[in-house]
Amino acid sequence: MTPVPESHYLIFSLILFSAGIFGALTRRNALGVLIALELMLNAVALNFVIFSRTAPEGSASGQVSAFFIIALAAAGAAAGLAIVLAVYRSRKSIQTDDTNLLKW
Amino acid sequence: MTLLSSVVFFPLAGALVLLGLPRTLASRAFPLAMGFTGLTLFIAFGILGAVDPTQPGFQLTEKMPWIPEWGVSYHLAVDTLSLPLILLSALLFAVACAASSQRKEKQKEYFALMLILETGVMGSFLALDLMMFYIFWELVLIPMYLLIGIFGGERKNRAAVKFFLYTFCGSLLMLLAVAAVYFLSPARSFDLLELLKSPLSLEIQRMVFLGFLAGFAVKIPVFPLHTWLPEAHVEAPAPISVLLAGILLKMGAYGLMRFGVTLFPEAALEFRPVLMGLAVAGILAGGFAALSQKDLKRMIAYSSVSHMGFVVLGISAGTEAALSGAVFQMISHGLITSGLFLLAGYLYERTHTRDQDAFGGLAAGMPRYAGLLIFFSMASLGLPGLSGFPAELLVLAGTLERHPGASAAAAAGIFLSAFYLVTMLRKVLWGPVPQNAPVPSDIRPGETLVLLPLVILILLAGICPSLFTGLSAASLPPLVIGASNG
Amino acid sequence: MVTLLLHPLSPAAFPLAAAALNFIFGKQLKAKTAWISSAASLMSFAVSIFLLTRTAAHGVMQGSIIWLEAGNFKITSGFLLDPLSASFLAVVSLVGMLIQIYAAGSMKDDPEFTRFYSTLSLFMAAMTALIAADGLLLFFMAWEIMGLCSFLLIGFWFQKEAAAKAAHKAFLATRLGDLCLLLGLLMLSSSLGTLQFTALSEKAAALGASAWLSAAALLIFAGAAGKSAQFPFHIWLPDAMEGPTPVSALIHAATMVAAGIYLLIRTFPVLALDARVLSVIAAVGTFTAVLTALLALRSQEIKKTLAFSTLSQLGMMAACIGFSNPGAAFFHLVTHAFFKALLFMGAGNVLHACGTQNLGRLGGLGRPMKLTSGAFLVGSLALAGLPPLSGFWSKEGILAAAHGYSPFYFGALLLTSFLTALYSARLYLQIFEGSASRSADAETARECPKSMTIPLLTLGVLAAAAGIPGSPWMGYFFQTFIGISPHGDPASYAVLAGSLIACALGLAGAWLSAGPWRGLGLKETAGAGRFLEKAGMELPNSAARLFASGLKTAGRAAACTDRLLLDGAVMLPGVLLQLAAAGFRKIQSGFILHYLLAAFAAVIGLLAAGMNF
Repeated sequence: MTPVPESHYLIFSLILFSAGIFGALTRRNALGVLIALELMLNAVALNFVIFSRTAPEGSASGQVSAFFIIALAAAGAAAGLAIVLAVYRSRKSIQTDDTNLLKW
Repeated sequence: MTLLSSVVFFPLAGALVLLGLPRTLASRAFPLAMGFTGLTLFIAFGILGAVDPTQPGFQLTEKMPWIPEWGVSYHLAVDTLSLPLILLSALLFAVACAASSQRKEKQKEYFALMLILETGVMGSFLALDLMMFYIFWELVLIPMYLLIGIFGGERKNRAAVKFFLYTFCGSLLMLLAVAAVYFLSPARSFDLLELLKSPLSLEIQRMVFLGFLAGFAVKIPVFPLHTWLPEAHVEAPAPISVLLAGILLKMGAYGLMRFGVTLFPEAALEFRPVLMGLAVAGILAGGFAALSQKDLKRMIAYSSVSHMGFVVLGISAGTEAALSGAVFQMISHGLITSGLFLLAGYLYERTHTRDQDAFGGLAAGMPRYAGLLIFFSMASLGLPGLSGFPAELLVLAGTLERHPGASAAAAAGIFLSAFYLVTMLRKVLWGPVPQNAPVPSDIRPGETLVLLPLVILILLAGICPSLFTGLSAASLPPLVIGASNG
Repeated sequence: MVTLLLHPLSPAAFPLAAAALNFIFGKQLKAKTAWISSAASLMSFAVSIFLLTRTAAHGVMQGSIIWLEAGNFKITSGFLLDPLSASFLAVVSLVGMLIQIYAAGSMKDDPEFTRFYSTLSLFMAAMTALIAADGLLLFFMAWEIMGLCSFLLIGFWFQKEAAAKAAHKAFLATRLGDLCLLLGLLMLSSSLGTLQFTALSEKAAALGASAWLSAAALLIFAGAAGKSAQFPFHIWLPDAMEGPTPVSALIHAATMVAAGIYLLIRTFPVLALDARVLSVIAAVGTFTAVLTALLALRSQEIKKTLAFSTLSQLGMMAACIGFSNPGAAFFHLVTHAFFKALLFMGAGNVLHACGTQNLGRLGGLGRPMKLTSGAFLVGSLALAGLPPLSGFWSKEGILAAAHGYSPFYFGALLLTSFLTALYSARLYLQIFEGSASRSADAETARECPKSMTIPLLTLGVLAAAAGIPGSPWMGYFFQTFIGISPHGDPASYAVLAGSLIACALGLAGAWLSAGPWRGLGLKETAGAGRFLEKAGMELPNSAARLFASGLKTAGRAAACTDRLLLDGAVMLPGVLLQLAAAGFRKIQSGFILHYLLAAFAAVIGLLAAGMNF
């Protein structure tokens, strides 16, 4: 069987990343923004794994980076959720357009 | 400690003492401040005694290298030009301090700021190093800003900010000019005497003179850069107006003479017609604007613009008589305007209004106040026998030789001052008392005492002006614009 | 010590000391201030008599000090005692003393007594200093101080709006003239190098006529016209009658207004350089003389009539200087001082006795007030120029000068003499003759106290006799003593005849209009009279008001330009900066996703930029 060309994987990763950006910039719900950010991070992790395929033999740096990113994403998600929780406690809402005090 | 440094830094020491006063002793701020200003006046008299008025050069020089790599030195000296100004400043600070005796809140801060201001003023009159001069010049801005902004009238913030920014912009241009002088002059030094040894070319002089002029012109103030003055004077409390009008304005004129004309004589010669024109414009514009003012202090502020126009006219006319008149007018105006502002302040304290239309027939209930107001008004309009007359006479005579038209216009300005002052006197002091007007109490002996030194000096200068011109005459000839060119 | 007391400036020092004493110790002294001031004037008078005899014997005395010096500008100040100043000193201190004694009576009940006397003494000091001045500087300084005193004294009863207004007007009108004088003085100084009177004639002759000197001369005349209230500066004098009567007598009749004429006499060498300047002076003086004599006819108040009369007589004196005869002008100045002060004091007596000065409500006071009416009669006749009273001799001198100058001016001044006789006799007749039943006030009139009548009588004697020294009966002693040449062509019969006829016609006309021809022609001349008042008084007054309001409008314009244009230009950068900042501020929307977008865009931009390199 012919192997799946690398470009297909990369396009898939790109689609995931773009979806993540789109979501980060347009979601009204703060949790939605966090989910989108997670999506972006996972797309990046996928990118690392893709390139590890064509890495030199014995080097597992791509896959190790993927693990790093998963851990990072978890920590980031935890911190983000803590902030969302604090915002909810004080503003009673997690819509992004409600947290606009720091303006002109 | 040498005399000049002590007259400069003693008030600063006083300010630090005042700031360090514990709250329990806060009520002693006034006597302490009075002591410091009085002692500074005493030191100033000491300087008077130590100086030889017939010598044209700088005396009592104190010079120490400060930042040798940049050619900055600590250089203080006095000559017969700065001597009368030092005495005037010391006197007016003591007078202003005495006039502030009734201040109740924030005494410490007020008097400390005043003393810092005194240091700045004394330093700028005595410094001969451009960098030192600039530092002391700028030092004056912050205390004045705070004094107007904290202790002022209803629109104090606007007036204080406007005063600060306007003067500061001018000073920034001056700073550029100072830097230019340092970099473009072969002397590579900020010291006046060093710079005088190697004169600059005319093109450089023009540029640099403009920069210096910008800084001084805002301060003097030269028309049309005078619009900060009425607001600042109206909003400042009366003793601060005394300092502002009596001393700060003179710093600009002094700077113009000491640095502008001395360092850049050819450029000054080129600019002379412009300066003369602006001076006459200032005399007339200030006079006309004063005519239409209802607010008493605003009217006096515009009259200050008009009188300082005489100073600029004297400096720019280019004859020794005119220059002598300019210096005389600086002293005379300092004394007269201080008196007028203090009187306006006393009235405001009693009635909480400065509107001329609110008053009438005050002479009936306040005869002593009326007498003093008439005295100072007559001095301001140049009645002979009082200090304004010899000053204006000298300026008119000196300008007549150079440009009779300017002299005639300046005389018209004198008529204008008679017009608005006598109209004010008639409205405020005479006529029937309006229906529901409060009758203020007459001037207290303490307040009269504060005005007494001014009255005596004005009379003395008016009757024996040669005492005063003799004091400053020696160092004037080189300051005449065009003197070196004949 | 004695020499110091008899120094030419001591007639000024005594009143100055009195003024200071009265000012400082006024409250304690109260009524005694009058005696202090009068005593000072008495001492001045005594010293001036001594100085007069000394000058007659030893000649001129001078001395000066350098008052102000700067560069090549030098001004000296000192005293000059020559026959002119010595005699003027004597006259002024005598009149001043008499008026101060008079005022002690007439102002007795005024609460501001001390202020009155301190200012009056200051005025006397200034006037005597002016007379003794050796040059234009001290002269000018004293001139201005007198202006200040006049200002304070016209507005003495300052609660009256009219008095405050009059003082205001007087000060500004004279100040305008003063500044012209100052410029003229400076112009003289710069071209002649000196301001001393004695040096003026030589230096002026050496330089010869020039546009500069003529301009200076005209400016000096403008100053004199301001102080002596010549057209068009005459508007302040009638209003100045708001002041107390002693003030009107001393300042606005005898002394201060005469200072303008004295100035012209002293600076005559400069004025005479250009015949055009003299013709201007002659024209202005004559015009003022005729106009104000006509206005005096129409006036219905005693003091206003006398004020117009003073204007008219001053006009004659100024015109006489224009005719190049300062000596005759000075002679008339002296006699005028006597009889005009007398007339004013008489008016004061009438005011004191009847409480009104309206001619319509007076009449028949001759019977109750015999002394006043007698003295007033002498004064009126002297003013009218009836021989052998003083006014006749001095007026003849002026008429002779006019006759020598131009027939037109001679005719005009004859007309003035006629009018003068007319209104002065009419004044006397309306107040003191006729029926007493015109008003209730006049019925209860009684003669005034001695302090008010004795000075009156003294002046009456002087008004009668003071002309003798200047008359042919004493060989024109006065004129030669003063030594100002020329002293005219006195022996002309045309002049003599003209003046006698004018005087006689005037007196007759007054007697007729008060008696048989009363009310005749009143209606016909009413229109002309009103026109005259309009042209002569209201027009210049309106012009002055227009000038003042023009100044005020210029003031408002200046303040507006200041606020809007100049201040606007300063505030503009600040305003623009604030607007720009307000625009830029909108980037801070507070919307988190915008910030996120900005962060992403920045990263992409940086990457793109980095990749381009």
